[in-house]
Amino acid sequence: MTTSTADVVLPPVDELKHMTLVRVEDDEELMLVNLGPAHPATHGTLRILAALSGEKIIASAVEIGYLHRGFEKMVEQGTYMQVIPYTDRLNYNSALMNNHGYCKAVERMMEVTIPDRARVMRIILSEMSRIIDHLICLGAALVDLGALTNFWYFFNSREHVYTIIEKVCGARLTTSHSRIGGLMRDAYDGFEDDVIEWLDGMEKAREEVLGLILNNRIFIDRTRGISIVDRESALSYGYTGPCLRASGVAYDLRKAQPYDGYEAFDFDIPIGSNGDNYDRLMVRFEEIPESAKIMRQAIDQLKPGPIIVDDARVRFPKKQDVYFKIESMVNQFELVFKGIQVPAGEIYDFTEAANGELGFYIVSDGSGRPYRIKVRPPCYYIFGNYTEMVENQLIADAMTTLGTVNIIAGELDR
Amino acid sequence: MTIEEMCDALRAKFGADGLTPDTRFGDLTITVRKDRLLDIVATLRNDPTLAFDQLLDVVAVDNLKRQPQGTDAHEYDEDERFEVIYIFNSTSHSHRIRIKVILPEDQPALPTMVGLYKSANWGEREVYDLMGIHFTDHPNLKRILTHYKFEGHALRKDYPVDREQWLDETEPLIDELLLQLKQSQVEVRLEGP
Repeated sequence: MTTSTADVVLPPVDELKHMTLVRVEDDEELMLVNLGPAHPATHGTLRILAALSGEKIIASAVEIGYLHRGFEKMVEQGTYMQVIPYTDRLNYNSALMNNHGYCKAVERMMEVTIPDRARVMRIILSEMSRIIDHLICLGAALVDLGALTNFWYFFNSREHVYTIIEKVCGARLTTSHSRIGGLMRDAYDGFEDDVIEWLDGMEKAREEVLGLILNNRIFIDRTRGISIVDRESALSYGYTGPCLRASGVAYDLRKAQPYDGYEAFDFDIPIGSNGDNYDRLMVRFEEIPESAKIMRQAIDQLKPGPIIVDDARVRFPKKQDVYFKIESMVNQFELVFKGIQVPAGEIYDFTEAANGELGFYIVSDGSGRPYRIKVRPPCYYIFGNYTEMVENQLIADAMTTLGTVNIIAGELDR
Repeated sequence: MTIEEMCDALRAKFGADGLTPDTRFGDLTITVRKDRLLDIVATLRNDPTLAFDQLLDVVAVDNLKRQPQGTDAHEYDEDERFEVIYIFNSTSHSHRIRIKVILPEDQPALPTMVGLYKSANWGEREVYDLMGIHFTDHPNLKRILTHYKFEGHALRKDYPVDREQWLDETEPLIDELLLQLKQSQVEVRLEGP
């Protein structure tokens, strides 16, 4: 059943196809344009139907769900551990952060404190993911403006990170690196040096890109004052992350409601003042060195130690013990077949992901399988405001706006 | 504001009747009656000491097959088939609260929160789409994640996980466009060939 929206009676679709939309005020025929679902500038599968007068968008409607894979239904079928690979596919640009966010939520329900090395590793990898997420967002947004060179500078750096991630966990995009209670695998020898070397290269790439765009007339004209989101509507629409900060709200979960020991790090929160496309891009540009700052401090804190908590409720026993000790064998069997036994109750836990607040609402009935998991993807609520953002803007700028809010179809549609 | 202070403040305003706080895992969840929902949420938003300026998410849970084990064993009957949870955040005070409403199996419906928080628009649409809970007076209560001709509500526990539906018609979307035009006060008419 679909509920009819406007109180207009629409003719059948077959007739509708041949009809035209005319503005009463000046008898101008509005042109209807479908953008997507497979338009290159949508960076995924979205559909936007826009009514145009000349090049100006008079009104638009969006349709999402083309990438809906039933994440929330699928995770109810398996154990808590089997959810981790699904979380990779939410925001696939920064999969490590999704792994961490989910594991952190379950750890809070289990009242497990992860070892120090695992915690610091998570911070390093999360900040690394935040940087590469921003790099792809900025690179792609600049391509939408016709500036292709920047994209290569950033992708060169991003490629370097993927090599590091591949060495850490064996996969490039779908990492599944966190485990409930810690991490899957420790860092390899020379991880710290690789990260520092990459950071230096990345910061150079950022400088080069800034050098190309900061005084660029085209970039400034096409981003300043476009698609302004003021403070009130950003809050009301549930904006979080860089888009909220671009609208002038100095709110970052790492500072405001710190988790994982972020309060011990020295970093700043860049904010914008206008909430336009320029601010949304620049906040991301400025967040990159702040994340790098956290990473450099975290690398100094990284001390040898265990990477997963020694708690038989959550971690797999050593392979050696599984073969030769009956308790460990039973432990392994129970964890695989029955899953981690999470106490009954409900929890909402959040992390500051690259796009904003990534939240997991988990309902447990005390068994080894999650009863219900609801993800709060940051860009879902940001995209809810899109039609308002692009109203009375040029159609070419609507594409830039889509780039600056960084819509990731994987987490938008789940 | 600590959880206890928040509980006390709400009790002082609305009385202890019909407000059930739950502080499991250190988060505050308050279960309220459906008819008092908007009233309480308006206070949460407007009271300067609470100042919940963001509705972060709307979650619906189907209790059909829920049988909690352990200390808080509880039987869920038909009157408690659905739960809708609203997650609020205050950016100025950095505190959070969850408001829960319990709904029966028969025609679950809630008043919309779009007038208070704009994020409720898409949040409630998602709950309607996947759980089939109606929100009265919602400006555009349409399916959002599944196809517009999808049958049933995918996240209900009685929707089989392996049920497939073949849906390949493109949604006209023109009705939503007309709604947008109406909201921005642009008068239009449809002309035939």
